[in-house]
This record gives sequence, structure tokens and C-alpha cells, in this order.
Amino acid sequence: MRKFLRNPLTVVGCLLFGGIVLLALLAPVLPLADPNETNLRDRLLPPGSDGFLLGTDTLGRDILSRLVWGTRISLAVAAAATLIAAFIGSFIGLCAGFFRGWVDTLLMRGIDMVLAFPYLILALAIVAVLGPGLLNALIAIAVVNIPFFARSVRGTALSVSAMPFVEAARIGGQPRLRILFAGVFPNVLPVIVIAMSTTLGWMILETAGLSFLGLGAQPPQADLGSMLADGRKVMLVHPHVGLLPGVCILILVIGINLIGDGLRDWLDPRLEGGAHSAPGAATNVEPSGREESADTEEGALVDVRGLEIAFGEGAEALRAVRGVSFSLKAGECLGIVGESGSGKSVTAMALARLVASPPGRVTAGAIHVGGIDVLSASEAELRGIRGARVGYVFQNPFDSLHPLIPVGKQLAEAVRAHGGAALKGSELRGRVIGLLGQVGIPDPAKACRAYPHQFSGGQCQRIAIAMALANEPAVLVADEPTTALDVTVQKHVLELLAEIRRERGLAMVFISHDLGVVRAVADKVIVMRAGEVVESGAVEAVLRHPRHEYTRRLIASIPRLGAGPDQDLGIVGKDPGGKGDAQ
Amino acid sequence: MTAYILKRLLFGVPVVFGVSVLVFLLMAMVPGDPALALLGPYATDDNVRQLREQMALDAPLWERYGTWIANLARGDFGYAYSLERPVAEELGERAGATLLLAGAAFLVCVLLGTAVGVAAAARQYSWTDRLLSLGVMVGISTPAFWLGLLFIVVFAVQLRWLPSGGMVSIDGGGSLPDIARHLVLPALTLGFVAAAVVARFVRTQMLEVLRQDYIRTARAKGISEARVIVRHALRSGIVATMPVLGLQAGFVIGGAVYVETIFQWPGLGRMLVNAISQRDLLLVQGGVLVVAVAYVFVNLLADVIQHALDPRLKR
Repeated sequence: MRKFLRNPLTVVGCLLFGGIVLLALLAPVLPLADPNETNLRDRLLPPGSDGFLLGTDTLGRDILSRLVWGTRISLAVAAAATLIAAFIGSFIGLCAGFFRGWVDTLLMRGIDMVLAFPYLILALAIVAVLGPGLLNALIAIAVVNIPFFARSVRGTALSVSAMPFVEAARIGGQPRLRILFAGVFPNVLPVIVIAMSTTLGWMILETAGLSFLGLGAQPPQADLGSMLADGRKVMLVHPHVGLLPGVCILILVIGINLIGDGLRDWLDPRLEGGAHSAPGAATNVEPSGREESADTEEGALVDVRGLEIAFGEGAEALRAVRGVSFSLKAGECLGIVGESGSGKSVTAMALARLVASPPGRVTAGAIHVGGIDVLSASEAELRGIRGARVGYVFQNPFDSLHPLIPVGKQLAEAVRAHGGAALKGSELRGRVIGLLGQVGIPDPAKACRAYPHQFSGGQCQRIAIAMALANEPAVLVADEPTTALDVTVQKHVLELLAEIRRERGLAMVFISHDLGVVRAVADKVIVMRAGEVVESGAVEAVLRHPRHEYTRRLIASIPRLGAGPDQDLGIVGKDPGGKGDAQ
Repeated sequence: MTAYILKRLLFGVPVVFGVSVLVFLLMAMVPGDPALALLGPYATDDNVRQLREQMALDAPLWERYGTWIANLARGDFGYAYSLERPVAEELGERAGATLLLAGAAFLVCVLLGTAVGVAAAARQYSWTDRLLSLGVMVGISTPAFWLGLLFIVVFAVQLRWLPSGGMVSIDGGGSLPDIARHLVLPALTLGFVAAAVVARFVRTQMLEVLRQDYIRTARAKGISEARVIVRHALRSGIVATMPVLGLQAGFVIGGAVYVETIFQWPGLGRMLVNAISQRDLLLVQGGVLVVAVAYVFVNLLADVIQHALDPRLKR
């Protein structure tokens, strides 16, 4: 509940809606003029007139009083329609989702038929049949909203019905209706509540709309919609008569929609944990953390000093990288080893400020790539690093290529982003085909036109490597490039990377949780745990004489061929010293 | 692609059939004698008997449906008693106006909705985002008929920039620029309200897409952020938005009823409202059927476009 009221907009919604509902409920006891008392002498008075706070309408009736009483009717009709639609629609959805099979097919095909109409047109058709009038408008609006409930509820009912506890109850021979109402229904209730909060706003708008068209409330009865229609007749000279009821509808519906949003955030588990945050173009850097005068190591291509990266804000913030320093010379290969969550990928992403932000942010340290201060670089400077000086190959090749763009175009874009900006037509195409050929894609000319889903995982990773190398960067960052691949394919990709490095004298940052792989490719290594570097040095030295307990256990966890089932693979990650876990 | 379109068309057949049955049943459910209801209180007994025979009201329901469909196939939608002319003629005359209004409004809805959604998502949590999201919230909550009124008061009455209603000027109107001037306010009214829902959906979709790995790849290439947003993120966002655009077409068609009423636009929506007030059920029946079938095809089109834009769906 506190979470529900934490969002200030939800509070505003509650105040708007609650205030209007209270006014409407209290209408009989409030000191208001009779809403139907006509007074032709005081016709069309402007707002602020003596005795008529919001003025009078065409028949000299008090607008304020009529608004309050009209809101009462609009609210009552919308609430009734919502309840009817929710009851029938949810019942249909529950049955369809729970019984499945032919019941489902029959009910949902019926619902589809109703959905084949634009809903207002269907509402009009129903009113046409039943005849104009507030009650008939209510029925029409309720009917056209049934499909919305049926569909939302069916989806949830389907998944709840497939849960183990429901299956168990079925097998246990409990009466089906009891399972439906005691087991499934309570789990579907939040969906119904969310759907009701969504539809109530529509219902207000639709009731008012039908009344506005003269098909709902009939005089002398008046709701907000018919008041608006009345005002329309004198709109040119006295616009307030028509505009005020509209303002009332607007405020009411805004209140309802704000509450609805709050309810969704509160009750819908899928939205938990800020799932809808999208990272910006570059990792945020806290101004206080920037170290201007950090001296860089002589001749280093990449130099990282005291890097600190945190995720989230305040006390809940997770310090994912803590005081990491390393440097890389031309042609060198640095391995970064550690388990998931050790901060190794985050460190590597930080080199080009690619750490997702929010939630990530650099809180301290300095990063230099090719002499450029990455943490204070402008967006244009950053672009000069990304792809041009540092190329990236990511873990999951399928997700790392755009699924809707032919791979040739994706490669061409990389080429044109830097040195090849002027390249066009066949020249550009030649470059792209050449790049694909270099990484061993068969028939590169044809491959250009294909989409990522038409390649295997290994081929996708080769394409990703070609893209990373398109502008001949000095550094290649490979973030677990083989983890998502089959073992045999892993080997080929590793061979390709090694070959490219040999040919071009490329410096590389190679991230892996697999010490065996790192040993094969890297010259030096840093071992990370819970955001900190626990050990660093030349690969062979670290592997032969690990000084840190954690490294020893990592080494022990490399399965050795022929060691048999007795080999103690150890449990990495549980440190008895407990230096504050990253997770 | 052609195979897919044919398949979708084939799936559309039962939907159109269902729509026609529903429309027919609805009108057959009119309480009391339909002939009497159609002709109104001043009809003579002879009139009523004649119409009963003409509509074959004494025949079983399925036979009446068959006759109705057969007549429809010949372009015979019945006779609009309130207007004293065939329904088909009236529909034909008004369909164009609604198509023009709905098309223009839909264009506003798609362009504005997408632009706002993308701009808000590209700068999530910024003031731009908050301001746009607030505007979207107001847009979603705004009654179209009220916004139309407001526009008339402001732009037609106060500022005198644009006409307050109708489709052509009375004195020698009818030229294209004249119609365009009349179109602006109704199309903006309808488009604004419809755009709010699209903007909201596009924003959510874009935020979802921007979290994908391939966006990180695009950024790692060193292309400009504008290009990342437009070429990479928006491409996926648009594909995901297609079904919602199909649904929004329904909202636009429905909203056209209000807007045509406010701006005295001579389209199907205003015709429907008049027909309902006049209890001219054959005219209502014809209007509803035409609009519903058009809506089915719009959704079909949205499906086909989504399919064409997503290579993963091609077989």
C-alpha cells in the first residue's frame, strides 16, 4: 500500500478522483441551488456572477449545481457499466482460461466477433436497437467493454490454471467449480482490478459521448455529456456553458487514469524492479568522481585507474566495481576472470562508457583510451572511441545483432560510422563482403542480404567479430564471446580471434569465467571477485602460483581430463572471509 | 508474401461473415414489429404490410439472412425511409467524407504519437519526458467532443483562422484548398486524442527495445545516438506498434462520430447519429456493416504490414 502511494502522481489522482466522488456523494446535503430551477432573468451569466459561482446556462440554471448533480449521474452510470462488464467479461475469461478446449474456442471466437467492430460503432448499433436513453446507453457501453475483460482475464486464468497447485487440485478430484472460484479466481483478481480501473475512465468518456450525441441522458435528466451538448448551442457567445462540463470530465478521467497507473505499478508483478528503465547513450559519470590528473602509464593503450561503478541509488546502491586498475599495451591480451556478478563485464563495458545507465554510474576513477579521457569525453569524442579505437564483441551473438536489418547493412553502417563515411555503392559493398570473408562466412555476397536469424550462433558471432573489426580498432573487447556457443563452435571462434590478433597485432581484453580459455589466449590476467581485483599478473605466474585463495579455487574448478569424478571442483564464490558480497 | 496476404484474406472471410451475422441479428432483435419500428408511428396498415412482405419478415431467420446477404451482394442495402432514398446511395455519398477525415486524423495520430513516444523514451526521466507524458495523460483523458468545442472557440471564433464547421464554404467552395482548410480542425481534434494512446504505447515499446543487446551493439559501433534511436530502436518499435495502430483505426472511426457531429462534417458518423434519432434502422444497419467491414480490412492491413517489416515471420 505504501508503494502504491509513493508515486506523487497516484496521490494527485486519488485527490482528484476522491474529491469529485465526495462532492457527488454529498450533493444532496451540500448548500447548492436546485439544479433544475430555471430562471429566465438570469440566463447565461458568466462564471463569478453574484450567487452563481460558475454562472448559469441557457435556462438560467446554476451551472455549479448542475455539474455536481451531472457528475453524480455520469459516475453512477460508468460505475454500473464497469461492474456489469467486469462481471460478465471476467466470468467468460475465467471459464475460457480454466476449461480450455472447446469452451475456450467457442467463447473466444464470440469475443473476437464483438472485437471486429470499432467499439463506439457497436455501442451506437446497440443503442439504435434499444432506443436512446441513459439505461440503454449503459447497457451498450457495458457490452462493448466485455471483450476487454474477457481477454485480460483469460490470459491470466490460462497461466494460473497451468500452475502446479491447480493441477494438483484437479488430480485430487476436487470439484472443478470449487477449484475455479477458490483457486483460480483469487489469483486473477488483481488483473480484474487493473482492468476495472482502466475501463472506468473509458466508461465516463463513452457515457458522456453518447449523451452528447443525444442518445444517452434525456431531458430533464442531465449528465456531463448532455450538459456539454446543451452548451454547444450557445458556444459562439457563451463558451463556458459547454466547456465547463468538459473540464469536469477531463479532471475526473485524469484522476481515474492516474490511479489506474498507480494500481498497475503496484499490482502487476511484471513491472517490478523498474523493468521499464532504458539505458541512455553513455554511462553517467558522477562529477565528484572524475579524477583529472590521474597519471597514465607510459605507452599504455588502455589505462584504468581506481575505477568505481555503482548500480542504483542511495543506500540500496550496489557497488559493482571497486577500485579496479589495469593497463594494456599495444598487442597485449588481458584476460579478466571471475564468476557471474564479479564485475568483469561491467569493467570492460566501462572502457567505452557502455555500462547501462541508469542504473549504472561511474562514481570514481579514471579511464584513458588512446590518450583520451573517456570519463569526461563529449558524445562526439566517445563516438570516436567506440568502434574506431575499441571494438566490442558481446556474449550472446543472436541478441547482439539487430533482428530486422540485413547483416550486410549492419556492417556497412559500422564502416560508414568512421573512416569509410564517404564510401558508397559497390565500394562499400566490397568492403563489407571482404569483412565477412575475413571471418570465414561462406558466400559473403549472399550473406549480406540475410538476416541474423538465418545464421547459426557461431556464424552470428563471426559476423559480430567482423563488425567489431570493421574500422580496425587498436583494442578488441571480447565479453565472454564463446559462452553462448556449442563447444566445437567455441573452439573455432577462439581460433579465429587468435588468428586475427596475430595478424593485426591487436590488443585485446578477453573476459571469461573459464580460466582454461583465458590461459590459451591471454598474456596477463586479472582475477575479479565481488567487484574487486583479487589478483593480477602474467597468466602463467598467476596460474602456477596463485597467491589468493579465491584464485586457487578457480583453478581447482577447471575440470581436468582424466581426473575422474573424484576431482574436487570446489564451490567458488563462498568466501569464508565474507568481504561483502556483490550480490 | 503473396501467400501470406491470401492466407490472411482467407481468415478474414469468417470474420466478415460473423460481423454480418451479428449486425443482422442485432437489427432482428429490435423489440416489437421491425416494420412498424422502421416506418414510424404515422405509417398506414398497408405500408406496414407491404414492408413486412418486402423484408420477408414472416420467413424464418436464416432465410431472411440469406435474402439480406443476396440483396447486399447486388448492392441493395434497402431503403432509407427517413431520407426517402436507397441506403446504398446515401452510404456512397458519405463514405468519402469519413474516409478523408479518418485518414487525415489517422495520419496525425501516427506521426504525432510516434514522435512524442520516441522523444519521451529517448530522454527517459528528463523534463522532456515528464512534460510529454503529462501531455499524453491529458490526451488520453480528453473527450474528443470537448476538444473539438475548444478548438472551435479558440481557432474559429476567437482567432478566426479556420472555419468552424462543414466541409466546404457555402459561397463557391469545394476547391481542394477550401476542403483542406475545413479539414484541419476536425482532423487535429480526432488525431490528437488518438495520438495519445499511440504515444504511450510507442514510449513503452521504445524503452523495451532500448534495453536490448542489439542497441548496445549499435552504440558500440560509434554511430550517433539519433541514428541509434531512429534506425535501430524505432524500426523494432514500429513493428511492435502495428497491431495497436490497427486498433487505433477503430478508435479513429468511432471518434469520427463525435467529430463529425461537432464540425458538421457530412460523413457516415453524423449519418448514423441522425439515423438512430430517426429510428431509421436500415440506414443504421448499412452504415454499421460498412464501417465494421472496413475496420476488419484495416486490421488485416496492419497484420500484413507487420509481417512485411519483420523478416523473422517470413517462411
